[in-house]
Amino acid sequence: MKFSKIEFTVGCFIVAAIICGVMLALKVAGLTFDFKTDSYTVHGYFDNVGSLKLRSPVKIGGVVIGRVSNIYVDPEKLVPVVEMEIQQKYNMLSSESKASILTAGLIGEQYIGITPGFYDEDMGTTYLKDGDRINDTGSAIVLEDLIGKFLYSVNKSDSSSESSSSGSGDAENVQ
Amino acid sequence: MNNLVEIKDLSFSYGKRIIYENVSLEIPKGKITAFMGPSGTGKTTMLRLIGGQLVPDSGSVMFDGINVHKLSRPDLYSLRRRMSMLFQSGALFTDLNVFDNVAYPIREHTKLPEEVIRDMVLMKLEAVGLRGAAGLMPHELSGGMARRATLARSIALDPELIMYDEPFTGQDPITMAVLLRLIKTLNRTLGLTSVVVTHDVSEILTIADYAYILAGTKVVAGGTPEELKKSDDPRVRQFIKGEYDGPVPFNYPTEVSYLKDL
Amino acid sequence: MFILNLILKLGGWGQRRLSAIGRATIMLFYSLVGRPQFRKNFPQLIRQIYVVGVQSISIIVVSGLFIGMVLGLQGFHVLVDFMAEGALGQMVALAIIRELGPVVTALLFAGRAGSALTAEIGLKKATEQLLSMEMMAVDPLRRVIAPRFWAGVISLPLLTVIFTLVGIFGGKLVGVDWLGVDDGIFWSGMQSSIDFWDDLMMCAVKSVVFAITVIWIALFNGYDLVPTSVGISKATTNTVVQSSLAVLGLDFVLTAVMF
Repeated sequence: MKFSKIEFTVGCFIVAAIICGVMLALKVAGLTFDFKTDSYTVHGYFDNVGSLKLRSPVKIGGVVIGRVSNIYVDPEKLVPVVEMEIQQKYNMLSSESKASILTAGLIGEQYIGITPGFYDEDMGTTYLKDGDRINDTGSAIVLEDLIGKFLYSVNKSDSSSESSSSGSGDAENVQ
Repeated sequence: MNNLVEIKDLSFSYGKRIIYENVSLEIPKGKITAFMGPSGTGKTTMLRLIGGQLVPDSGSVMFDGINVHKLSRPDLYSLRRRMSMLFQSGALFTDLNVFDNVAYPIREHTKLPEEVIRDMVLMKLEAVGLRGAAGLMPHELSGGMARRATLARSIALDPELIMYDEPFTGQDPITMAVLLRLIKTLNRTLGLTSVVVTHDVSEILTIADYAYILAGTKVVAGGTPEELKKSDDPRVRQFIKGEYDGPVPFNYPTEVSYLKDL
Repeated sequence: MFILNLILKLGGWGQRRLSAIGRATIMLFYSLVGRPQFRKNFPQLIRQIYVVGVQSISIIVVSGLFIGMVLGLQGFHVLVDFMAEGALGQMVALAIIRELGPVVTALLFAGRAGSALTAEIGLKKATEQLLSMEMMAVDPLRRVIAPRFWAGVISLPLLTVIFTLVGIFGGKLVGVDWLGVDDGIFWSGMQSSIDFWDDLMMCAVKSVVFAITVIWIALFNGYDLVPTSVGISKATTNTVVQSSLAVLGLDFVLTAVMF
């Protein structure tokens, strides 16, 4: 075989760049190769998903157990639906668990926090399986609604019912 | 007479500057044809028109019965395999040595095994007397050697037509004689048709079979060297004898008269 | 009269630009469209990747390292005032991956490889090497321009990846090893804010676009220049100026479109 310095260095260059790319993906972006087989998908209906995004984390007590895999609106009910992929090792979640959209810090990213529910076979609760629906959901808190509600309550105490009550109905839903 | 190239009513201009106006001429097969004329009359342009690198404003250039400028790009490229051109500056590929330069067109257009290519290249180099310089890089060659190396490259694929653009410019008398003899022997032994563009009148007339004098957008005269030498045309006489005063203007044309410009 | 002159000049300038863009497009079209000739072009491609890519590695690595280190140093002193030095990793990584990596690499590439390509092609043109190729029935667009184009389009993204990683390690070197930011916080803060698709792929898309732009400008300036020494020097300057401006302008457009 003929050894060519140019071909060798070009080969090294390409290999080095690929290694750099893989390191970037793993170490910097924290990309993990999660396969479909070791996770299961559940979904929940929310009134408002706020700024939840694809691949937002799903957490229990701050520990990531899965990711948001899809967000869409149910075409019949016209309600947002969030699909979550949860790792297979957390398969002991009760169907009574509550999923709420929370915000990390005051202005941080939004994520789904799961509060595990009780499990009692006599009362008909089961473990969540692939394709199940989480019934108990808490929607995202929308800052504008909060402010609107606050203004409304302040105005009511001033007994001036002139101010707009727009959004207060929504705020009720949020709660 | 059997003509390889026929040019009919050719007109060409660079922007507003007219180079040729209704020029017609023929290049006979198997002969050496010389284009002579003062510098700047577009003799090189004529070669590039024949090669299809420039497109004329009107008129036609027929190469072996094919209109060069009516061809599609791929057809033009395949036609160019039958012709070859020796550029004024040599135009050797500076990143390849002499051997690879000569081998370049062979490698491009054929799938011959490397041993055959080696033999072919060495034959061509021997023909121009540069077999010993095969390993040199172009910048290590003298001007005359570079011309000869280019010549070897031009004949590498045995073209039918070879066009020399000012092959003698800046060469010493010995190199000039060598080049002259090379052009003549190559023309005879390979059965080539040669076109030589030059203003070294006396030298080229010793080997040319036919010569054209181009001046001021026209073909001034054409004929065998003997006919030209006997010609009474003052423009021909001026050019062949190299007189500074005569009907062929020396100054670059201008629209404003000298008196007015001052 | 003055305004008329101005409009005339503007019109002339615009016309020249447009016709140059047209010629550049024709050049690229003829070099890339058609039956590929891998057997003949592959060795050329490798050679050009060596010239354009491998020989640019040293400048890319050194500038990446220093830019990362400076970012680490500057960022630390600002963030430490807010007790937020934990966000250093995320700041350095975001800045380099989203903007500095692709842009600075492209600018360095334009200066290092782009100008050299322009000069090389220009000299080939001035010494009639391109013309003589044409007369040898070898299309210089396919044989000279195309391999250089692909070499640039392959090399610049690879260089950008190297620059980005080296830059982040430069930031880590200063932040973690010198100024004492916690190693774990540095990396995890980075991982939580960098998304593979949004940020890394964005970086890749940008650098591919920049690669095409820079290499195209460089090759066209070389191919289209007036073959004199003044022409060559003007064309190399043009390459650097035009490709730098194009990269910065495109960066804005791409950022606006993709975020």
